[in-house]
Amino acid sequence: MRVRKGLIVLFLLPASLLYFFFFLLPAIQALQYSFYEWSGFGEEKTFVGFANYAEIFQDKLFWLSFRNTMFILLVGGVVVFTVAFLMTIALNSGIKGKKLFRSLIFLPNIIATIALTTLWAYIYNPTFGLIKNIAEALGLEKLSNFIWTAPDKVFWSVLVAIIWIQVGYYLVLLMAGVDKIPKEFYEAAEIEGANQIQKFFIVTVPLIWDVLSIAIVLYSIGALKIFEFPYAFYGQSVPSQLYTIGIYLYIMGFGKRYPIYRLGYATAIGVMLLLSVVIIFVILRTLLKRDVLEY
Amino acid sequence: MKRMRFLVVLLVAFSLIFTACQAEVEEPGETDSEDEQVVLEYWSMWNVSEPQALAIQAWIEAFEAENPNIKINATWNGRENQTKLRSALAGGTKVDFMDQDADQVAGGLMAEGLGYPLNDFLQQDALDYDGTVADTFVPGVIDLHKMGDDYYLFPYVYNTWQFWTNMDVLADVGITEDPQTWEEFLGMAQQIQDAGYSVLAAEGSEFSYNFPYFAYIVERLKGPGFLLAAVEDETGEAWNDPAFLQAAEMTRELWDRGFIPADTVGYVWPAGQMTLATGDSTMEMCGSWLPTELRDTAGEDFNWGGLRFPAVEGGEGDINDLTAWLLSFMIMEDSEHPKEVFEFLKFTQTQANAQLMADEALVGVTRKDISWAEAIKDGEEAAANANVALLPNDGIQAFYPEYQETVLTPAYNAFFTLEISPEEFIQTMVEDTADYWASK
Repeated sequence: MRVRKGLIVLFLLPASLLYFFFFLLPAIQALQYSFYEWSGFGEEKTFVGFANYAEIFQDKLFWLSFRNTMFILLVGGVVVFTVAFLMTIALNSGIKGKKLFRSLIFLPNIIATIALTTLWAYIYNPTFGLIKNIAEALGLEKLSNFIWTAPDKVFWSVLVAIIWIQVGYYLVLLMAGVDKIPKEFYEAAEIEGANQIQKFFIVTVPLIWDVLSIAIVLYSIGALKIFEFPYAFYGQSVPSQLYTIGIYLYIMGFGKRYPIYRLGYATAIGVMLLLSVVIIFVILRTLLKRDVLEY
Repeated sequence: MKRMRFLVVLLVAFSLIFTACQAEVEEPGETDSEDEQVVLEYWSMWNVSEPQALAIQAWIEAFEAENPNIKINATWNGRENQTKLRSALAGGTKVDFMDQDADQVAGGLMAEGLGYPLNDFLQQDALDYDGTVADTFVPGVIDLHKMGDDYYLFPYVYNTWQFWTNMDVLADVGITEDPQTWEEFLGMAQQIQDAGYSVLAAEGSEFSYNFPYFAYIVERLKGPGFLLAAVEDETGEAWNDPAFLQAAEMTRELWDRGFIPADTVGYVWPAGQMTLATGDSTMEMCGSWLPTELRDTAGEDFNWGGLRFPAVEGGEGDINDLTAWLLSFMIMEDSEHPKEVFEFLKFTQTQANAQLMADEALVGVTRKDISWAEAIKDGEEAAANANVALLPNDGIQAFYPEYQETVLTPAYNAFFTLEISPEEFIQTMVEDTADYWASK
C-alpha cells in the first residue's frame, strides 16, 4: 500500500511541479508585484503598499471596464443560454439536417477572431454595411439610418456579436447532454400529458444539470476574462466603451500603442479580476449545487 | 587508470580556468578588432514580409558584405516590439538595438534610461555627405525627442501629418491654391461640398487620427508646447484658457457644417479612409503612410496631394509647423558594441540607402535630399520647408501616455463623436486633469 502511495506521488509530481512553478508561484509573485510601482523594464521597483488598490477604487475607467464585463457576464449569459436552449429544443424536435444546423451554428468558433471582427464591422458599417443595405432595400428608413457603432450603442452591438459566437459553443455542449437522455423519459412525459415547455423543465433541465452547471461556469470564466473580440473590433485602438477588465489590464501593463508600462497597477487589476472570478465561482457553485440524477 | 583520470580532471580544470580568464580580460567595446566576429542583435518593429523589413534586410546584407566581421541578427517582432523587448530584457536577453515609433520609445525604453547616448556618434563625419551624421537629417527631426542635452533616437522614417487629398476633386471644383488660413480652408471645404462631394473622411473613435485636429488648432493659436503645458498643470485650470474652447468649437464646426459626414461617428477604422480610397470623400488628415496604405484600393493612378494644416489668423503657430511621426532606431544602453551598431545606423543614412527605403516602402525618410514617392511628394516638400517639427499631440503621447489614454482619450472621443459639447469637453478636461494628478 505504501508503494502505491509512493507511486501516486511520483506520478503526480511532474504535473504538480509544473503547476507550482508556472501557475501558483507566478500568481503569488503577481500578488507581491501589485504592491509595487514597477514599469517592468528593470529590477527597480518602488513599494507603494495598497496605493495601487486605492487607485483602482477611484479609477473611473476600471469601474467602466468592470461594469462592461459584468454586462457581458450577466446579460450576455442569460441571452446565450436562452438562445442555446431554444435552439437545442428546435434541433431536437425532429427536424431534418440537425447535424448540419449544429455545425453551422458552431462555425464562428473555428474562425479567427480578427476575421469575425472584420465581418461584424462590415455588417454594422453605417454607410455601406449589410444591415444598412438590407434595411434600405426593404424601405426601412429608420433602421437603415441607425448607427450601430455610435459610441452609445457600440457596446451592445459588440455584445450581440459575442453572443452570436458563443451560442454555437454552448449549443454543442447542451446538445451533447440532451442527446444522452433516453427517449423513454420524454415518452413517459408525453403519456402524462406534458407539453414541450413542461418536458423541457421537468425532463431536460434536471437530467443535464451537470452539463449545464459546467457550461455556466465555463461561460462565466470566459466572460470575466474576455479580451480578443472587443479588442480586435476597433483594429487600431479600443474606445473606452468597449473596455473590459482584461483589456484595461493589458492597456495599463503592456502599453498597447502607447508606452504605458504600469506593471504593478496592471497586476493589481489582475488580482481584482482573480478575486471576481473566485467570488463568482463560489456563488455559482452554491446556486448550481444539486444532486446529480443518474440514469 | 587512476593517473589517467587525474590527468583528465587536470585538463578540464585548466581549460575552465583558461576560459574564465579569457572572459575576464575581454572588455566591452574591445571586440571591434578587424578579425573578430561581432554579432549584433536587432529587434524590429516590422513583420518580416513588410516592405520596410525588406529594405532593412537589404541594408543588413549590404552592410555585412562591406563589414565581414560584423553580423546582424534581426528578430522581426512586429508593432509590439517594445513590449516584447521588455519581457526579453527582464529575462536577461541581450539586444544591441531596436526600432519603434519614436514617441513610444521616448516614453518607454528611453524614459527608463535604457538608451545609449548618441551625442558623440552624431558628430562623426557622414559617409557620403559633406558634414556630420547629424547634418544629414531633415532639419528639426533629430532634435525632436532629445532628452535634456542628450540624443538617444536615430529616426529613419518620417511620416508627415497632413490632409491627404484626392487632387482630382480639387481640380474638378476649381481649387488651385492650397488654403493658407483656417477661413480659407473652410471656404475650400464649402466649395467642395457645394459641388456635391463629401469633404472629410475621419474614423469614429480613433483618437490618434482625430485628436490632431484639436492639437493642430491649439498649436496654430498658441504655438508649440501650449497644450502640453495644460496637461502638466496639476490644478487642471490651464484648460480654462479660451484658446482650448476656441479650438474645440473650431473642430465642432467641421461637423456642424457637414464637412465631416454624420455617419462618421460609427466608423470603425479603416471605414473612414476607405471612403477616401473609393472616391466617396475628398481628404483625410493622417500620417503620410495613408497613400501607401490605400494604394491597392485607391489604385496607382489616384491623384494624391497633401495639404498642410492651415494657420489661424492672428495665431502664434505657422502653416509650416509640421507634425512629424517618426520611426526610430535606438541603441540599447547595455550594448557591448555601440560603435558597431552606430556604424550600421550611419550606413542606413547614406543617400543610396535612404533612397532604397523611400522607394521600396514608399515612405518618407529622415535623410535630406531624398526623393519621396510620387503620392507623398507634398510630404517631402512640407518636411523640407517645415519651420518647426512638432511632436504628435504636442508630446502628450510621448511624455504622458497614461494621461492621454485615461483622461484625454475618453473625453475627446466623447467630444469628437458629438456626445458632449465643446464646453462640456473643456469642463471634463479641467476636472479630470485635476483628479488625475491628485491620484498620483
